[in-house]
Amino acid sequence: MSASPPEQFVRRQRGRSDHTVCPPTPAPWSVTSHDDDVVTTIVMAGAFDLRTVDDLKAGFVFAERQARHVILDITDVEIIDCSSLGLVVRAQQDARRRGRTLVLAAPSPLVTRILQATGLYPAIPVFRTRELARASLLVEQSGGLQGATAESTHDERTGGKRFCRAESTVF
Amino acid sequence: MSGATVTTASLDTDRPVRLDEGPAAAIVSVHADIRTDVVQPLRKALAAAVNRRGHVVLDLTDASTMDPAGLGLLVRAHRRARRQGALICLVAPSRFIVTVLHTMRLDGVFPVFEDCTTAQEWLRALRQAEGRCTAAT
Repeated sequence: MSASPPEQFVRRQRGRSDHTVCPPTPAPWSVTSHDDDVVTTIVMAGAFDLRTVDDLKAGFVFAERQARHVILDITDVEIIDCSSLGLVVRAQQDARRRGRTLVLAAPSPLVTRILQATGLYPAIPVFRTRELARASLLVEQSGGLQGATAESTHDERTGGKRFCRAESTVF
Repeated sequence: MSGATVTTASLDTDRPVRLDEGPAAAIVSVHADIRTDVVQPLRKALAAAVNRRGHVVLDLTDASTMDPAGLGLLVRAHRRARRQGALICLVAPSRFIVTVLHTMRLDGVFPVFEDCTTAQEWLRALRQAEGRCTAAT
């Protein structure tokens, strides 16, 4: 029972120890906004952590100034940490206080998992596509379905939740 | 609510795919399992519906199962519709079809409704909102 690590692993560790002072190369990331007079879409791409908080905050400030519903398009978000998620939650609370909605669109499987693990997922609506998010916001804004319930009795897994909310996202 | 929107439920065995006009969107109804032999007419009907009116209601009340060819068709139709800014709404998919969509991680991609009336109502509200925002620009 020899517990010595494989040779390859040792070499890699030794090699890396020379560069411990260097920060890891930052993943490219961006926050861009589109405004289409019903919803403001903020597109996030890349990896989000403490270093990106200020730019994300600027994005949310922009969205707040537009005074519209917000779609946070996270298709190309590779990873997101709690500082950024905290901003998302705060932005959603601000939006709700002003009578508007913030939704997330098209998370990757990993990000979906993060949203679920942090409990953000049922709290903030998540849609599978940006188009569906926009359609749902438009319908909601125009008064929704008077009396009609877009609920399903066909899928017990979603618990008959409202449809067009992609409640049963990726898993 | 605009009454019973469709009376297309008349089973038409020699025509498995039907294209009807609804108040807010075209309705494509399938009266057969979504298999290889239905794929061709269904593809044509969906393409025609999207080209004509944009959003489409796909009535799956009488379709109980779906094979891989049918799934592929649905995905391609969705992508084509999306390119044209249209949505394909599913009405009353069977549990089999819902399970297939879930397994292929496609649930949540299509808006799903219980019946055609609800789907039409939803699309009507969407069209109104869309009309308002194009009028504003």
